[in-house]
Amino acid sequence: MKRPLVFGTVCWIAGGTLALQTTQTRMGLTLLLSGVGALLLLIAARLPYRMWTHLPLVLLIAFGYTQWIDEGNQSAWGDDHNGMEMTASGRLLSPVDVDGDTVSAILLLSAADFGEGEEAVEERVRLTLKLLLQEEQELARTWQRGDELRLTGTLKTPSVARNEGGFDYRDYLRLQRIHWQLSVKGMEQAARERVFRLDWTELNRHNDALRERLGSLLDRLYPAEQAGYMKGLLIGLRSDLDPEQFQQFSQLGLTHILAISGLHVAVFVAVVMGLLSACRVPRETSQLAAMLLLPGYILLTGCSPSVVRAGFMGMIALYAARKRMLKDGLNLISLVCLAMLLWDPYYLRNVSFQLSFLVTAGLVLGVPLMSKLLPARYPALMGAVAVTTVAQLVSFPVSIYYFNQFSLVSWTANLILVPFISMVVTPAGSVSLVVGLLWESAGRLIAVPVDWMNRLSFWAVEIMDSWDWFHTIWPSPPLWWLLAYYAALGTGMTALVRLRAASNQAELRPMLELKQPVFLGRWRRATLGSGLLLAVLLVYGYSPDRWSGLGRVDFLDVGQGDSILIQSPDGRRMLIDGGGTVTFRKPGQEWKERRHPYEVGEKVVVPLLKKRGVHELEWLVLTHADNDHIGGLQAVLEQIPVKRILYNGTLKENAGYRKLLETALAKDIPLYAAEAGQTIRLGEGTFLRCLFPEWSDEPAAFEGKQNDRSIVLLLDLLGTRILLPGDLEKAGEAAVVDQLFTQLVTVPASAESGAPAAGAAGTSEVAQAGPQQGAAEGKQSNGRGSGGGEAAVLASSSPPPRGVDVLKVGHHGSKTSTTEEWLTAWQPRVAVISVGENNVYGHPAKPVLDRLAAFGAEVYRTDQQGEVRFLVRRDGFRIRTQLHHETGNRLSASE
Amino acid sequence: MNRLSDSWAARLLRASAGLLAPPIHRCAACGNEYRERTNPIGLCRSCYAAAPWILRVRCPVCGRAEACPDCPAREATWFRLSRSSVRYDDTMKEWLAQYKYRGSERLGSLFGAMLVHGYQLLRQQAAEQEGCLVTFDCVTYAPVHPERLAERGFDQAAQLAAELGRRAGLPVLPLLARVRHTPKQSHHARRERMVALQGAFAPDAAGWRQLQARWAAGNAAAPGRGNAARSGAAGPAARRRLRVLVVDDVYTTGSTMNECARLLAENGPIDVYGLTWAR
Repeated sequence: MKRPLVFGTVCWIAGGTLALQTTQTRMGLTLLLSGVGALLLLIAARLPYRMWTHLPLVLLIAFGYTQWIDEGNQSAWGDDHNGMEMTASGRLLSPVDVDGDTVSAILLLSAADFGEGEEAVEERVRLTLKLLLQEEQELARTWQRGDELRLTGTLKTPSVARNEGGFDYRDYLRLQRIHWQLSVKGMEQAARERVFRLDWTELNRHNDALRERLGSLLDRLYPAEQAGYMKGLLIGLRSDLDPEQFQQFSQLGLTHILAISGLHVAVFVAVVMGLLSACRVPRETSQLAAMLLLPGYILLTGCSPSVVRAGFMGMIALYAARKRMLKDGLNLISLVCLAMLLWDPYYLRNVSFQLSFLVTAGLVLGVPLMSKLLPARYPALMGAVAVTTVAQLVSFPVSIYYFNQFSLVSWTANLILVPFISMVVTPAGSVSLVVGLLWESAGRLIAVPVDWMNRLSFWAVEIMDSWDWFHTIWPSPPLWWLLAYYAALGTGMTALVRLRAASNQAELRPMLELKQPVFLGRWRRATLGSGLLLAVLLVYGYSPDRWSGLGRVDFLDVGQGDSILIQSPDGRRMLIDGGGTVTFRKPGQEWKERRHPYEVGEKVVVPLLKKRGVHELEWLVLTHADNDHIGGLQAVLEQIPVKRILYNGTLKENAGYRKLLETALAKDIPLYAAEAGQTIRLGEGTFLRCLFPEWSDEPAAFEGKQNDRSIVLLLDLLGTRILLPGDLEKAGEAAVVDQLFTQLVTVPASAESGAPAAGAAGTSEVAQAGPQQGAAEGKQSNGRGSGGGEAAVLASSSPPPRGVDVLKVGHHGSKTSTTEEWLTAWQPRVAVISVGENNVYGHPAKPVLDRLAAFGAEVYRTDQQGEVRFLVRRDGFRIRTQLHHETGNRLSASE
Repeated sequence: MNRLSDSWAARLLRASAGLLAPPIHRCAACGNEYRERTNPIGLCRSCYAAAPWILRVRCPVCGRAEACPDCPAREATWFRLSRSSVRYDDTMKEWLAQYKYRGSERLGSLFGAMLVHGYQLLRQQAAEQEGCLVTFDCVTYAPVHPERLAERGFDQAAQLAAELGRRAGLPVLPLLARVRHTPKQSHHARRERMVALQGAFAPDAAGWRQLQARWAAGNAAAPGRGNAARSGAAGPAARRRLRVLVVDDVYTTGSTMNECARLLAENGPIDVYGLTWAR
């Protein structure tokens, strides 16, 4: 075997991944030492290198080493420290980010006092400091990495993922060896001191200052809308990037341009060597200079895993060239990978690391294959095509795993823009930066053509991004899927190349390996087989739930608010509300606003929907216009295709609601006003009956008090009945009960005939009058109710039998809802309360909880259990909660 | 400086640099060092390029790359197919001369590796004919006369057969013996060769016994292993035919191959296939 390093690295990655996947064994060091010992024995015994003796040992050593490091990554403080007040001093390990009234940084505590005297500690914490006065912003901005701080604040454990597949902040911080958050209120609680120490942090402090200086120079050289982009492109500073622009780049799969990586390093080395050779410096010397300058470049561009990889590969390659050694791409990448994993095993979990190494290795292996499949003409163009295609094929699974989106124009965008940006814009921009440092006006002159080129590329990106129908949404695939994809891809490409070579007379070669399949049929079969496997994988990966036969109702944890995702067994989705972030901002406190304020739709709902493979929503239901229900839907509407909207038929003077409806109108999404008696067939075995609000003759009215206009839906999912009353309060509840159970409803004659037809038609249309476009303008009333007969699909002719399996407790468990009568009428067996942790309203109210207990309903709360998921089959349902995992099988009401 | 270069650190550095560098190889034909591996049989780029591989077969019977006057002219062809790895041009003549007469035995393993190409051509054609991959039951060879063996020290055909058998995982059985010393074939005209070969070979008793044992064992095991399709219905009449591969160094007119094939096919239910290093 000729490449021990490559195989060793693959084994190391496998061992490390295994170690991070398994729970801690407390055996890390033992395994590591025994592995190393066994390897030393093999070497001492002068046994020849054999794959089957040495490689398993490498795996064992990697496993032991990674576990050992992972075991050491623990806090000295136990869980009981959560919520404790403390006074501590520590050193800033990161630059300080001042964003509105929030200051954040990483702090290495050296001393802590919990009120029982100071003790020496060594603990990394994530500092969050809330500023109380605007003047404090300036002061906080003077803080720098390396400064010593003394603070008083509260210690908190970072939150885990509160929704299945959601962002796990605790895990994220743990990978940075941080186990605590320290919240401090106001600058008075903090004191700063400058302490000089000659170390890495001190070096970084000066590097921060240099980066900042370069950043502000770019601010002056380029117009505002380009400066953030240029900072990302040239010095890896991404914080000033316009989020909308970043979104466009990321949808097109172009963000790698903004990650400093191989292309940047290549351009850097080429520029350095080109400049030096222009000054008649001998080649050897310029190679040495480039080699010595690379660490500086890595540092300056922010030490992201991709630039570390590229920089070190570049340095080794230059060294090898100097020594006139031959270098080998695969060996080189393996060595750097191994070194980085030794330095920090957690790189294995880093997206940038994964993508960088996968794509580089894929290019080394795949481009030679791909070029054989492409025509030999136009070598430059074909080279770019090969690189782009291979990079796309290799990065596809990782990008859908992490980002859940893939654009079908990504290939084109990369083919056109990557060469242009990395070969022209980056070098020219770098020149403008370097010249600008020496003589700003000259730099500004050079920036002019770059400015034009940027406009051109932004224009291209914007055009391509606006083609909505090319954007596809993918759920995160499981590990076996990823491995199968790469296996099929590798086999398919190899077989295709062989097949081409065999059928192409000009490329006949001696067949010197016995392993090769002998006749064409077999290669054809391998190509077809792997092509077929890829197709199956893609279809399955696109919508894995389609064949599960499982209905789902997910009560997402959106903090204080509601958001419910319903999925029929055949994979059609409805979203009821989307949570919302409520901000109370007094006038004069605008300075507190953050650059990109937290918004629950953007940060929680949309990522979760994408992660769960929601390609489109059949229905989006706005139960009522309050912000904690519709606030998050703006992001949903912008990023996920919605077919129809159901709203409660009233309007509210609320900027968020107005914008939401305007967006819907702009996207030509039909708006339906809900009304008791309608039935929606979402998909197979999934029916929603609207119980409220009552039909009214008035046109869409402005209604400030929205709770009692909430849409109430009764979901029948494979026989399991779930009642979803929005924020309905006492009066509304009484009306619903009155309507359904006490009054005898007279049904228009047409209802009977209309019912089976609409039910059987299998469309997920509301069986009612046509869409009421223009509802937001308040002129919708026409047609409303005219089809009332048909609306009564399965419907009011037979009032729903009493009793539901699950009740979403109205209005987050407020004491104004969920009356005795309501519970008597519905007899819920399970109750779900969607409510925020420590909310200011005191939801859920004690009387409500008592009432639910008295009726024997089992209560699930999103504030305590995180997301609550109902997995529904014909024979009953299962409940899965995200926190404190409690699962149980239940039989449905029919039993 | 010298001491430093010998220190353990320097050696470690060189060794790790070696890990990074691509491996160094020595050409199996010319013996020169080379770096970049272009082929799996250990030839340097120029030797590899110099070998006149038979990539496109013109004669479907003997596998010659040019038009073949011999095969249509032959009265009876006893072998089903024959294939060769390279054309027998001047370079190859020189390589073979080095091997046979100057005793560069390391070439034997190279020729064995090169033989794989012909073997693959053969399997390819056999598979296209039969519609499925075929397996051979054993490899045999056209041996040299004991006198010549004594003079040269080794039997090139036996060595090639052994090398191929090892690579392909096939048993090598000596099914033929040379009973009459014939003058060197290369000195004969075509017609003379055919005459000269009459009675030159005979079945080798020891080899046949082994073959018979295998045949019996194979037939006994076959129905149980689900090979019924090939062996047909049960019963002695349906016993499958054996496929035997005859290996030789050079195929010139095919008279040696045909003579060997005749002896094999006349003495058992055997399909004979030919494989030579050069044609």
